[in-house]
Amino acid sequence: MRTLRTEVVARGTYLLSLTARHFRGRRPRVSHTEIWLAVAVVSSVALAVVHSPLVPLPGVITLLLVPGATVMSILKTRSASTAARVVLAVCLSLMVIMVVGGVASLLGPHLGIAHPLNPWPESVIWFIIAIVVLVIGDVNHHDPVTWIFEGLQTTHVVGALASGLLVVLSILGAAQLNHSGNDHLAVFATTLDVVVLLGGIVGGWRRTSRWPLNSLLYSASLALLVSTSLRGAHLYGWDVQHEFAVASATLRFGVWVVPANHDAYASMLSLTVLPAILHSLVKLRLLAFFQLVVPAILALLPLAVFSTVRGVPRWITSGRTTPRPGLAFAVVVALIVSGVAFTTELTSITRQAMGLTMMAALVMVLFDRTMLKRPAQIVIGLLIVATSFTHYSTSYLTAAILLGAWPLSLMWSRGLLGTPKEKIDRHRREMRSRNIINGTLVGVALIAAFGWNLGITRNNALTNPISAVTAKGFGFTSSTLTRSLSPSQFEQLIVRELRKTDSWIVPVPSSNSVHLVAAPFLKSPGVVPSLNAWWDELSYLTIESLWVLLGVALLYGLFRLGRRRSYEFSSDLVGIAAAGLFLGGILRFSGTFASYYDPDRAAIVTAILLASPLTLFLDDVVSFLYEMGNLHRDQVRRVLLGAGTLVVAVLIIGATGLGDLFFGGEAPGAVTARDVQAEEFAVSTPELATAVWLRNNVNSPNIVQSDFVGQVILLSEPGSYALLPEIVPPEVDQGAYIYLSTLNLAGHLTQAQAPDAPYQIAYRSTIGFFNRYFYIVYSTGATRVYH
Amino acid sequence: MSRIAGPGSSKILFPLVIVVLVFAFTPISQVLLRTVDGSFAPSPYSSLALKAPSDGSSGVVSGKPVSVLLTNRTGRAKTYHWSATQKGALISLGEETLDNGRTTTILIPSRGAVTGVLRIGVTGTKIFITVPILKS
Repeated sequence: MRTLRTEVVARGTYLLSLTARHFRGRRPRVSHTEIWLAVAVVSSVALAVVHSPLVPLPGVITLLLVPGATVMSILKTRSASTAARVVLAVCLSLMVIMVVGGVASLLGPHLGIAHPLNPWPESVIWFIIAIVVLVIGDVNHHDPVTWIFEGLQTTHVVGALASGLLVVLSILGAAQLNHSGNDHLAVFATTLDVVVLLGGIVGGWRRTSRWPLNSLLYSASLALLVSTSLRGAHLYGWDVQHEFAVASATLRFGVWVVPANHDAYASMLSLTVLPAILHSLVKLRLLAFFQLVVPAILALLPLAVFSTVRGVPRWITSGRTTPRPGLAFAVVVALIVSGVAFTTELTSITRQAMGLTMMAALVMVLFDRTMLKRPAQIVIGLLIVATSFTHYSTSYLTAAILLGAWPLSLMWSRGLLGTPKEKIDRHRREMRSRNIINGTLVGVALIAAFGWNLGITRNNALTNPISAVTAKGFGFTSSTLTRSLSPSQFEQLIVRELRKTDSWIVPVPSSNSVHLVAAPFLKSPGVVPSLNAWWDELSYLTIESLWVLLGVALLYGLFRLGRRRSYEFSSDLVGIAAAGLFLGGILRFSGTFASYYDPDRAAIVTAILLASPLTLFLDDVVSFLYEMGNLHRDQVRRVLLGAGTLVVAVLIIGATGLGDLFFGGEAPGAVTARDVQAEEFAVSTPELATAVWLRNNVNSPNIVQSDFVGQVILLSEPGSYALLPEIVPPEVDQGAYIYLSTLNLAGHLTQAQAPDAPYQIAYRSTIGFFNRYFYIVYSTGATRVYH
Repeated sequence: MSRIAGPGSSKILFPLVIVVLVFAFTPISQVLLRTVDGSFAPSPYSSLALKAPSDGSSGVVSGKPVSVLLTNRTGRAKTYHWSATQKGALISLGEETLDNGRTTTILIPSRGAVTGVLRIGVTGTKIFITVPILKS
């Protein structure tokens, strides 16, 4: 780098002559960022020479840390906690990559570069950015790498490496499940993750605890995530298949354009530009992006929340000590890691995984008392904008939350909520420097969310939910769950519904005579199935109690605020919590929204926003109980610790699927290869091959029909054909191509869902019907295509 | 002689451990995966397809050969024995050796087939396709 700099200075480049002036008369000093970049380049080349599969690793780590670290060093802001700095650096790096790729895509074609996301243009762009990063570091006297890693000790690195063994075990468990179907190692790895998380609560209980909780939390979370994301021969889950298709198309075209069809997925830079740049620059395969990089980013979410709750929020100036690390850890494990959406869903909804991580980072900055107000507001603004490029729903939710929190915060800080007139001036003076949420941030959030999604990309993310709410209302009295119907009821319903929506179907004569026979889902029998009902009840009550506790924590915050002791609590804190609980409640209880936004995913949003008030409340409760004079302190500690750990254990055992394995139920694919979830979402090689064959051989205006779940893999390799995810015999078109998956053929199970209605059914596959009226045009033995 | 152990050595030791782990990743991961009988490699499969999928609806005139594509993704070269039957009666059979990753076109003779369904399958597997045979 030093040689390079000298060469460019010789050419008279302005920026580098500035650097030369900076160094004149001083002994040249190699910065940590220069060393970092040099090591990254050299190790990438060396790994490529030995044909290692880890070639992209140094580049990915560099791209996910250094750009964000540079932004932080330019703003001269950072948290006191290294974990929080890393979270922030990654989120800001994602923003930089998306902005660079987006701008290159918009300007490139006008400058004669038709494919600006291809390797050569990107290499040139990022080479220039690397030089700018180094120059800025020198000029600012804040080296980016030093800026985020200062204070890092060898023990931290040892802790991180040791806890990385959890991730290794999970990867091996997934490999074993994929190859042999044996679940022993996967179950062991998941159990170990649970034990480590529960151990963190106990080990970190004392305020002076020095347990490496950050490393344990990140590693255990990542281990749980990769045990899901690595299942199957392709991507595991539903949405991620469509996301893969979108990323694949961007990679193929070498440029991102605003989608003409208003597709919301293709409008997100997180699914288009981000994976394309990582592929072009460091040869990261798309599968690795979705299976490994996104989980690595998502595992920062609990870390961000933990960084938020383990400190005293910025507005509180006296009367409170730092919460017990173990208590903060327990809150994060209970609210975030034990969320069903976190362990099993978010790895397959990668846009939301990244969006929620950014939201958690935003809340972290908002509450972080070690970051100054003005730079913190700028960072929050940047994260708001980055969220709008990342995930439409999270962007809208962020805007709604800030919009809800701001008036409450404003009214309180103006003294309009019960402050006596004679004290208003003093109250306003005290409040002036406290509030972070202001009109500017709310404006930025609204402009970013609506400007990007409706103004620039004009995507269709809001179309269906708004139509549904307009037609049906919020549906607070209707169920948020999909309900099962009997086969005969379903036949009548589906024929009626599809006649309205797909009247072009020409059914096979006499297809009406084929009647559906209900089929059971594959389930784990359990070790003690007799306790299954008891376990379900306990899990349900624990989860619901958590919601009640969140509400109580919010009321407690309002009570503290109401006493006008603003140094003890904050209106921003209460405003955000109230908005979070309100939105979470709507998304949880609205049957209409449930079809578009899973209540479990909404629960994570609420959890991010309410984690801090809950921790403060619980810490006060624990302190109160400790100080009760008539009880022995050690006894209280043991009871509280035991009860708290037990509650978290129930939640995490349920969320990871260990409860289903032990008491019986539908365990997730991370811990079994047999249950229905694994069968549905773990894609096999023959299924992927069939999807590719259909893409290459069946063109518009042909139609491909599959069952409701069979469409999963077809979303990953979309062709020009039209897809109808329905193969109930009366609704099969005579001229269609029909795809039967492994589950349809070997498992004899077919699933259907009524369009626009929360009804579904599982029935025995009607293979005889297809054999009688159609010909098999493609077969792998495990899959078939009829025509 | 200077001591190896000490505060200075730890600064070199950990990067060294990381470098060794990164560069020895391939052999280490192979040993670990073998130990647990695990793999992320694609599962082996073979496939049979009509070369013109529309033949599935339009049919093939009796006596004319049926073009099918045979693909080998089993990870090794393999000899396939195929047969074409009609209601259990053998119409034609043959064998084809394919390297891994290759696809070949096989012309299946349909001489002797009558109007109805011709079943073309790979012997010893569940892989088969069907095609309508039309009167010549």
